[in-house]
Amino acid sequence: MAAETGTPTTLTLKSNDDELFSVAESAAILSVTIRNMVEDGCAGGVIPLDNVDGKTLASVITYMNGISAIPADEEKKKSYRDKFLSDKDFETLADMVLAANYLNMSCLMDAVSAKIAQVMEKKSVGWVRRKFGIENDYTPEEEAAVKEEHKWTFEGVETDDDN
Amino acid sequence: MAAEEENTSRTFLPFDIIECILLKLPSKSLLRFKTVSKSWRSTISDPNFAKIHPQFPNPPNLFLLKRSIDQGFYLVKLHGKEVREEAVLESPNGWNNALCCCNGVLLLTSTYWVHWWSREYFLWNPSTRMKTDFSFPPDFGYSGSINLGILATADDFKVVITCKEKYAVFSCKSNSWTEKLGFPYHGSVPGISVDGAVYWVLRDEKNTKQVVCFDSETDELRTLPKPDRISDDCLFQLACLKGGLCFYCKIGDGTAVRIWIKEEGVFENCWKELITVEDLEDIPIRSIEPLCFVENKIVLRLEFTRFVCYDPCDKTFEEFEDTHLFGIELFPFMDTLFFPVMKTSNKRKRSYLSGFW
Repeated sequence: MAAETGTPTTLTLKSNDDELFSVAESAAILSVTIRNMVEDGCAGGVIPLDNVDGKTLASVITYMNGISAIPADEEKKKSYRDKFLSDKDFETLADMVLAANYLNMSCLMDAVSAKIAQVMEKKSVGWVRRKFGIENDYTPEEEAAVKEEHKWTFEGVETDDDN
Repeated sequence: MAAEEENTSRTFLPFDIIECILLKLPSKSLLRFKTVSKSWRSTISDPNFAKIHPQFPNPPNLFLLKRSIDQGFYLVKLHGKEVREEAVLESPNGWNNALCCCNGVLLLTSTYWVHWWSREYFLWNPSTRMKTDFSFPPDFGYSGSINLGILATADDFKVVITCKEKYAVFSCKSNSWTEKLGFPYHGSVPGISVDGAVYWVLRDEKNTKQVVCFDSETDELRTLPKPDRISDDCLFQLACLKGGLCFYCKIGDGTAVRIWIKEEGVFENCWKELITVEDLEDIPIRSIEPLCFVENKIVLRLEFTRFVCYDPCDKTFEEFEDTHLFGIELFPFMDTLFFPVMKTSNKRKRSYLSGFW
């Protein structure tokens, strides 16, 4: 480990589509999943991350490097997270929240789920069903009745931007 | 087109992750998304979900401000330099005499005064527009000064009313009032609800001002010790700040106000010094009200109409105007699904709450 050898340890991470990434151990252990593997001595060779694709893993590593370069200043970390997520679309955010969950990175998980909530806040019910792949299991009568219960919440909904 | 794209490679999110996301949405979106599917509806309607919903970061520094008599409220946001109107909120019957508030729920009545028992009341959540009518016991024998409080505990919601030498507690869970003897205090002030208790500043038998606490665990009253070195004749006030109870009073020559915050769940040695505001004008402590923090600065309201934002580092004030000067009281707004009697339908809810006495 870094402390024993005096030089920073680098880990190699492998995505589920066989891309390899080098990352400093100090940044990678933001992921509790990776930290546990390192502590169990499984990090000698390549660490396979079977649930994350290359594109998402590259993005997560950018985040790991970015956030670990910031000293303990919650305000600065928060503004880095905001900026990091600002230009990501829904599909990218969905991939990232899955990766953050699998990698057990609570700070990224929190930030991405808050960002997804912010994106969907003013969206229509149809948009949410399409983006989350949810089947409408109401009959038209049931759906109308549920809608009627909270009619005012349908005011100010944005026009769908996905079709 | 969209469907085709989605069918190619998209993996959809598992429900436990969806739930994490839902908890971060405002109430209005959540109520709309009950229409998404039956399982979304049952998650969002679950009282356990509603209970944890308010624990997540709320849009900060939002307050309800009365519009003119019985015309509902403005929702305003306090920034460092201004009070900005965010929305107009219509309340049940337009009523805006809010008697107390707790966890985003207000006890509301008409501004026009009639006797306690013949009056109508609503418990109302402005962020979901949920409301239910409420009434006080007609034969409680109202005399002397009256104090009120509402509070939420882990599994109940209570309303407490105090009167000369006695008090009564309504529990939503048991759907009944319990009358108790022993209220050795006088004075009439709004109750402050924080972490499952209600606090008032009242005078005891020796005419000393005390922090009086209604503890929902035991349904008993207790006097809370004051911070160290605070004398019996000290004029102090209580407020809710940073989600906690704070105690504040003048120190020194009358131009400094010190604020302590109460440690949650502790009743002895519970005060921690929070901030001291120096070089303040010499006005009575009852005309000073700490409202919120904007970054590290504290916003205070002076003599109801003026707001100052104080920077404790360089000890400077910035003053800004209240654009709705008639609004005397500000109530903290919390966006939450929480409501005491959520699961009953409108019709049943009415008989549930008015048939108890």
